[in-house]
Amino acid sequence: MKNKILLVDDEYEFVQTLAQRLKLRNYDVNIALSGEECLEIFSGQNFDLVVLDLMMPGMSGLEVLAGLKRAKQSIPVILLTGHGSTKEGMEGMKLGAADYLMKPLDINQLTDKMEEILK
Amino acid sequence: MKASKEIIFSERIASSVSHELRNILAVIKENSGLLQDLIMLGKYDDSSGKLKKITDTILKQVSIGEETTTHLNKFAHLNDKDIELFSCKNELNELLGLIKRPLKQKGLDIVLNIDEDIKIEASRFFFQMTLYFIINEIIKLSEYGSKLEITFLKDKIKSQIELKTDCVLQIDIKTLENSLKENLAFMKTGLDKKENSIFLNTGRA
Repeated sequence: MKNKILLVDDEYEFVQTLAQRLKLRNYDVNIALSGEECLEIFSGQNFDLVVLDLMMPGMSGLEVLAGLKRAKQSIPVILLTGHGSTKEGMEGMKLGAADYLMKPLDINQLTDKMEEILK
Repeated sequence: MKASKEIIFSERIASSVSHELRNILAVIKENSGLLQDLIMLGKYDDSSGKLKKITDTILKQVSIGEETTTHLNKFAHLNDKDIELFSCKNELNELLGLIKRPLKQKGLDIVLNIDEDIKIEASRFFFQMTLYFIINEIIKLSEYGSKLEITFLKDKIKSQIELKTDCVLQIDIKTLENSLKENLAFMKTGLDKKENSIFLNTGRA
């Protein structure tokens, strides 16, 4: 059975392409373009993992992370950041994120981390 | 000596721009990666290997862009602390990463003898800025294809950074010192010159 992933990023060209690449790697992928959309989609379906951009307009990644954890404490979340410093990533880890990665992504690094978490 | 508003403004802009560039590179990288995935799955005929070559080139440039934005972002955070203990080796490498283009345009061959690090307690920003203006003087006076050798010198009493070129260095060290007066006073260091070398005295941590 395929693992079900929710990708959350306001950058459409990025998240749509990443979704296609993950689908080619046999993941079942949904996308959300905002924090609000993420929480709405998340509440209606069962996901195995969420990949979440930290910097989004409106609800920030950390606010979304808190919302996801309130909805389902055990959901693993990998944070993505385009910011050069690791400060936000570390903050996310303290709030319960499983890991964080810098953009631009290495798809193999992402899938390795996902597999490690989903094991 | 705190960073001025002008410096903080410049840093904030640098941070914002580097963040933006990272997102742009991320889109380019994903799309090139997708193209490579589809080629590997046989969705496109790439028997000549041309498509793969194009995507390899794009991904290589993305990697270079990534490195550059990392340097820019680190530069944007130089004034996060006024004074701290830092590695001169790291700061020098960061600065050289930021000024790749002017060094390349002069064809300067950079040789680093910095295996044994020097650590000092100072402002990373003013340290990089001081080094930058010294290197900039050397760039201006060097012929194309010159060598710039940077050496960390340490003994029991003092430590120095030597910047040596294979050109004749017609620099008035007092003028250079004067132009960097505030930086040097703040870092409690000074400059010396001997033949084709300029020495930045870094004291001891």
